[in-house]
Amino acid sequence: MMRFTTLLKHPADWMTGDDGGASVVLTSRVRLARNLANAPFPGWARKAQRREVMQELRDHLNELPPMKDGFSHELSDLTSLQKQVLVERHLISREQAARNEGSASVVNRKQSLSLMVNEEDHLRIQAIRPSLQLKEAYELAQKVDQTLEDKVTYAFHGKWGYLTACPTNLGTGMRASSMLHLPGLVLSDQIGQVLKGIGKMGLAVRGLYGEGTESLGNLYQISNQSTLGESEEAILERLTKVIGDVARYETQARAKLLKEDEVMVQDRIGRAAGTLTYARIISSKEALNHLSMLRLGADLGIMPGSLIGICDRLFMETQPAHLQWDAGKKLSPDTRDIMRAEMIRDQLHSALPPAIDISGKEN
Amino acid sequence: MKCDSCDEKATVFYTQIADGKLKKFVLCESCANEKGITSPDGLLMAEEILNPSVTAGVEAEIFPVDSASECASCGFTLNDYQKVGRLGCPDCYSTFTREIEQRLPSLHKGAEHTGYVPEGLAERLAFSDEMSALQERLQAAVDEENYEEAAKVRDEIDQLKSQEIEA
Repeated sequence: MMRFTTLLKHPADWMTGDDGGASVVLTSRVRLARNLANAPFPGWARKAQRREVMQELRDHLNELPPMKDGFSHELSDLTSLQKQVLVERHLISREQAARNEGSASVVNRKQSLSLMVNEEDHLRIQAIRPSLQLKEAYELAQKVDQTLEDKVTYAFHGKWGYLTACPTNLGTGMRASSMLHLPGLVLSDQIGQVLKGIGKMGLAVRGLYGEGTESLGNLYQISNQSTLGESEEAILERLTKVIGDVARYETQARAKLLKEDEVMVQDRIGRAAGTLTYARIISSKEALNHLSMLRLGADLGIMPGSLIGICDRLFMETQPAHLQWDAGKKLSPDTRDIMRAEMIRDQLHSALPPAIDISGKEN
Repeated sequence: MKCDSCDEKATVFYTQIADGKLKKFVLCESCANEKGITSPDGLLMAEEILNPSVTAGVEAEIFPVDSASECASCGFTLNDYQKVGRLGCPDCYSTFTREIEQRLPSLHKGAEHTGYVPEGLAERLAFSDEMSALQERLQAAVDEENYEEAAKVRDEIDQLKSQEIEA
């Protein structure tokens, strides 16, 4: 079985694509909520019942061809830092990170499939793809779902579809979302209007780490709210259309900014580049916001194009748990800010070398 | 769910309303047999069962009838649902159908699932839909004393059943 260290040695396959297509839509995720017919939901089950469900599901999950040689651990076997790293990678939810015994995480090598056992539901099948590929992500998750439905008895209702712990997930049990980078709409003050429009369409907008999180680095997640009364295909089609529209507005906003407010845009990107290449101490929030500007610069051709991929990796690797995992120990917030600045300088060096070395070491 | 009297799996659910109070037991088959609940005279034994000396070791929960709407499969209550917004087990959807139905319009686009149905289940659901439609027709025919129609529908039901067995 794959160890945690091995899992993290490689970036997820959806993190490495630095093709132009991913310039606004970074990733697409689809998760299916499923439950076994004859067991209480995890939140209400006793420990022994949870363990029983976990055992039954894990045996099947570990045998799935795509999960072969993958990562499969009970949450109680992971340290809180390891759990936090998985949250930052979107491989487990914040809710699951709070769980211990009787809850398990099963992830394939490529980290494109993440199966959460006994999170809010008995099983959540999550698939992640780069750029706007919701349909592809759904197909990946569905394949796992269809293999499992022959082996276990799902809780399914003729009228209400898949039965879930919370009625908000009833029906398809499907939540599909994409992560978008929208600096153009933010800088041109159009973001509020766009978000309102998305809300009116019955879709939800959230920050970087889902429900209740603030938007950092101009990163927004758009997802479906309703799971009952529409087919998976209809939901995905609507969502894909809206996300495509938002991506187009973003591209238009960037072009317009460059035309009408060129100096302001250059100033923001230049300041971000200056801060990131020279800062010695930087918080997670400041880093995300500057990385966002740098990424915009790369996309507009003001900065080297290779920075898009580097920024996407840094969005994740400068998060507190990833930093500490990288350092191999727990770090105080102050130390983290120093390490974060160092990591950013290191990774930007190839594309954006500083003109002078302010550490004085080489003089 | 465990038997109230021992650690075996509970298969017998017993509810009695007396003096405006609801009393519930869940027992395994052997404990239920021992206490006489599963015998045809079981109901007559109720008083005896509710007598503490007979149900020694059984912890019965007592609450007023009007607030007690509890899932027989998992013990989750309506109160729990209203507090946390989540349910105890899949069967809770049958127990609290009315409350859930009321909440659905604020959550979802529609009230009925139109998406993917697990393989095999689609046929089973289609079968039960067709069967209940036929049974309705049969009942209507009988009510109207249209015995010719009733015989025809009965044949259709038999045919559907034999198809199901072949499948």
